[in-house]
Formats: sequence, structure tokens, C-alpha cells
Amino acid sequence: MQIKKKITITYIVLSGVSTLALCLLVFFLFKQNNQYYFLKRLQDRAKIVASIHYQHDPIKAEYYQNLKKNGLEELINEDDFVLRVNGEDTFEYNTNLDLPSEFYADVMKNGSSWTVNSEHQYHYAQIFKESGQRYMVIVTARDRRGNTSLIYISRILIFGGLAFIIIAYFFGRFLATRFINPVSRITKEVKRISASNLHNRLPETEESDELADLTRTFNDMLDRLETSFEIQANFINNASHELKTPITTIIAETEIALLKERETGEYVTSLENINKQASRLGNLTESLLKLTQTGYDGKKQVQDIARIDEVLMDVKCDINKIYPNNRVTINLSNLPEDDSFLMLPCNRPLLELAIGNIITNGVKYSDNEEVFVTLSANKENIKISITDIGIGIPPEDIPYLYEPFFRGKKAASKYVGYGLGLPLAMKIIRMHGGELLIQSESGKGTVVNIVFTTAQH
Amino acid sequence: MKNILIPTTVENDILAAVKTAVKYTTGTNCSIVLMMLQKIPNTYSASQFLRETTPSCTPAQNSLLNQCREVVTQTGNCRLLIHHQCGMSAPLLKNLMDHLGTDLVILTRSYKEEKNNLHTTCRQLLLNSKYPILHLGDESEEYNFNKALYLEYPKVDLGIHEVQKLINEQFSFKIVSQAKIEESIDEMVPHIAETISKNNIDILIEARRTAKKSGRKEQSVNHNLGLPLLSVHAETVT
Repeated sequence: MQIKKKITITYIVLSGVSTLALCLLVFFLFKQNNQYYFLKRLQDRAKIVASIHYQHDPIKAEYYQNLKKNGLEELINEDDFVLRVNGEDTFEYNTNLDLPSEFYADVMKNGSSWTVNSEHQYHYAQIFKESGQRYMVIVTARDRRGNTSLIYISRILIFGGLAFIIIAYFFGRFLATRFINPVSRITKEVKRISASNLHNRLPETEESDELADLTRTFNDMLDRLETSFEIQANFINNASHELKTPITTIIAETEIALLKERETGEYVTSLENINKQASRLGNLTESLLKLTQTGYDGKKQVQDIARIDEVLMDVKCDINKIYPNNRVTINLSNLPEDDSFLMLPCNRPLLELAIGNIITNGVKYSDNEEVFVTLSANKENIKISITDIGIGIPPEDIPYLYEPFFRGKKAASKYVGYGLGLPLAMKIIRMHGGELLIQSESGKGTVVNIVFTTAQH
Repeated sequence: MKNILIPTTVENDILAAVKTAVKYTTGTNCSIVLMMLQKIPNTYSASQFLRETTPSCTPAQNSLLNQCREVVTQTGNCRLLIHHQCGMSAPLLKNLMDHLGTDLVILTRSYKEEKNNLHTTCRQLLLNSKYPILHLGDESEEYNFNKALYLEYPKVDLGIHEVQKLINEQFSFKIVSQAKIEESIDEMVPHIAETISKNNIDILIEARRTAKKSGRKEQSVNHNLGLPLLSVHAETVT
């Protein structure tokens, strides 16, 4: 059964049950109320009948007779009886009365009682005492109006209840449509996404309800899927691309060391450098391997806590080794006073790799012009801005920037590269919960903003 | 840190605890309090109570205490107090901690393994208190903390920034790694162990809430990884 139908039926059932409960309550309260007021009337009559009976003065007795006849509204089948009570359990009996003995016993015991038969004929009895003699006054009448109004209200309740259930059906449908529509929308969007266009995302809404949460979760899942999908597909490419840098450094170091004979100390320094680069290589291979093996499920990893300014300085050191004449300037003047804002849980080798790739692109595509790296951080986020004055990116190339092996015409004609650095950097930044924003103008330069959100959710 | 409390039954690892404590005292007027618990005896008179509660130590324990005294004397800014405590309850512990002005509690492995009811009660009360607690690991020599790994439990919801801020106030080590524990620590243990050896981690940090089972949880970390664990109370971090 469709959820829409389920919601509608559940709504109808629930509102039906609550309406039924309300109807029953109203019905019984109404019935009780009717009974109460009818008995009250019988009670008044019983008092008057008792007064008539006691009166020895015929004028007063007549006055009461008139009061009962004219002053009180006439009841159907009205009759009254006065029975003399002789003892504890004995009284005069009237054969016109067809009442059960329990009723009399109840009256004798409690002083008053009432009973009603199936034809709505009420009998009300009360004991009165007059100059030492006790009397039982029984007033009887038929409550036809009470019965009629009871039937009337039952009809209202039945028809009202039916009408309400019909309304509930439409309301239920409206409710179901309202709740299911966003889900249907998500389903429709999701159907669009397949292995060939994994980079598509569901449009996120500003709201903070469960469905927005579902959309976000789904997008996160797509992020991870896409990342692991592409990283697995491009492992060899990525590995070869990214391992090039440390290997180049190691080769350069050994070449310099082997140029001529050197002191032991110099060899030690050289070997130390080589060792450092080799262990970086090891770490990087391991990180890439892990990434390929598991995709990147940030939750099951032990993350490094890195100070982002230290990461930038390390990246700068690495770039210095490959491009000794680079003009990368790192501007740390906007740092916050509280240095804990600079801390970012991350996979450090991968993050260094990503930022390194972007800065290296800046250096490479600007023919070693100046590249400015500005770091700023506050309580909510960490922002790294990388500005170069290089060849820029033509607007038609921007949508393809994150596709592996894509190279712009201008870049491909002049510079050596593989089109792997930026896609990988983007994925690494995305899995750290960051965003990569590129603004560029052909021939003027490029501004790359990397924003990591650090605030707790 | 000025005042450090070490509840103890005077076993061999007390020396390492005192040495570690000495290392983290700052200022010129610090005290390290060794708290030795004993049961309240059933007595009829005050004098009998005093006779029954006279502490007694074995020669080995006396020698350990003397070594501790020596270690503390060498520092010049600390003094060693030995506090004999009869019985334990939550208000008693709170007042005692307030009176001593305790900044940190050190729990040794041997004390945590005590099965005596009095000690387990005291341990539980300490774990439910808001004071930072340093659980020492397997090694019996002094500790030197430089790099820390933060174990983030989902129920605590305390960011790395807050924890680092809190740590900076009292300690000098840096948090270099963070592990998010989703369900149980067991499945994360291989990853954590790998990070510990790779990054030379020498202390673990966790933030705890006042929960009855926290004691059991941290013990499993200690057992598996053998590292000391600093447990800070989440509510003290603002």
C-alpha cells in the first residue's frame, strides 16, 4: 500500500475513533442531563402533592391544587399517589402501581428513589413526615420530550459523525499529499542521478526539518560515493600524479648530494631530508590507499588535529623544493587571537596534498608570478584564499574543472599537466566538510577560496 | 595546577603517580594529597574509635611512602600530605575536595583494580564528580605528556576547540589526533593503536558526562591501549 493511502486511512481511523468517543460522551452526558431535570420536576411535584395531602384547610389545599395544575407545566401520563407508612417495612399498598419490591425497599431505606421503565415512564418516590406520621409520595409521568430530544441528538451525532469522516477523508488526503510531496520530489531527483552523473546533487532547502536532513544525508552519501567511485577509478592516476612531488624532491636531494664528495654532516642532513620525504611518501601512499579501499567515511577514521597555518607553512616548504624561485606569499596577518580557531580535524597528508595542488597550480599557470595565500579564521569557519595573476580560466571551461583529465585548451597548449590535481583537491576538501569556490577571469587571474566550516552542528 | 589528589592503597605504582603529579604542579605552594581510605569501625566510645582507626602500614608501604616524600621534597614547591579518610560518601567527598581545593585527581591502575566496596564507591563518586581525572596506564615509571588523542563520544558533543582550550589552561600537551567513537570503542581500537604508534601519542583524552557506566568504558580503553587517559567533565567546559 502506498504511504499516501496509509496516511489517509490512519488519519480517518484516528479522527473517526476520536469523533466516536466524543459523540458517545456527548450522548451520555445529554441523556443524564435530561434525566436529572425531569427527576427535578417530579421532585417538585412530589413536594406539592405532599403539601396538598397535609393541608387540613380546604382553601389552602385548593390553592396548592391550582398551583400544581396551572403553575406547573403538565406532564404526560401524570399521576400521584400518597401511601401511608405504617412501620419499618410496612406501608399501604396501591394496586394501580406496578413497581418492583426492590424499589419500595430502596425508598424505605434511603428516603427517596426513582425508576424508569422501557416506555420512558418515570416513577419518583419520596418519604415525607407529618406530625409523627410518615408518608410515601409517588409521582409518575412519562418523559416523551426527553426521549424525542435524545433521538434528535443521536441523529445529529450520527449524521455529523458521517459528515466528519467524509471531511476527514479529504483532510487526510491533503495531509498525505503535503507530507509525501517533498519525498516524491526527492525520489524524482534521485532517479535523475546515476553512475554517469554522480556529481549531481539534490537541491538543498533552507529548512531544518527531517526532509531537509534526509536531503543533506543523501547529498553526503553522494559525496562519499562519488569520491570513492572516482578515487577508485583513478587510483593509479592519482597515485602517480601525487607521488611525483616527493620523488622529485628525493631525486633532487640525491643528485645534489652526489655532485661532489661531502662532509659526513652534510650526508647526514641529506639522508635526513631523504628520509623525511620518503616517510611523507609512505604516509601519502597509505592515505591514498585507505581512501581507495574504504572511500572516505570520516567517521571511522582517526583524524589528525592540524593547525591550518602550520599546514600552509609545510605546503610552502614543499613548494620551495620544487619551485625554488616561487613567489608564493603567505599572509597570516588576519589570524584570530584565539588560536584554537585554526585547528581543523583532518587527514593531514591529504589536506596538504590538496592545498599544495591548488597553490602549485597558481604558481604553474602564472609563470611563476606572485601567488598570495591569505588565511583567516573565526569561530564558524576557516578560509584560505589563493590569488594568482596567471592565465585565468575561460568561462566555458569552468563547469569541467572537476572532471579528471580535463584540461583547458589554453592550459594544455602551453603547460605540461594531466588534469588530475584539481579534481582530487576538490574531493579531498569536500570530504573535510569544506567548499572550494573558484572565481576566474581569462587572462587576469584566478581566486580560489577554500572554506572549512568548523562550528559544531 | 596547585593541588592534586591521589586516592591510593599504597602499591608500587604510587611512585609513578607522585612523580607525574609533581611534574604538573605549577606555582610555589602546591600540595599532593595521598588519600588512604579505611572503613569506619563499629565502636562504642570515642577512644575505642581512635584506637581502631590508627592507620597501619607494612614496611614495604612505609618505604614507598618515604620514596614519595623524597620525590616531593626535591621539588621545593610541593608538599606531600597523607590524608586518612574514614568512610566515604558523596557529600563527604565533595566537601573534602572543596577543602583541599583539588584541581586534578590521579587514579592509578592498582587503585582501579581494588575490589573492596569502599574503594569502588569512592572511584564511582570520583567518576561522577566534575573534577578532571587522570587515569594512569600500565607503565610504572613517570609520565611525560606531549601529544594527545581525543576520543569523541557521540553523547558528549564537545568540540575539539573547547577541549583544547580546557587542556591549555592546565597542561602543556597538544591534541594532535581525534577519533570519533560512534558505537563501541572496540572497532576503533586498531585504528587508534595505529595512530598512537604513528604520531607518538602518549595520552588519551575523553570528555565525560555524569554517567554510571563511564568507569567501565574508560577502563576498556586503558586495557586495550595501555596509555594514560585524561578524563575531563563536559560540563566544566563552557
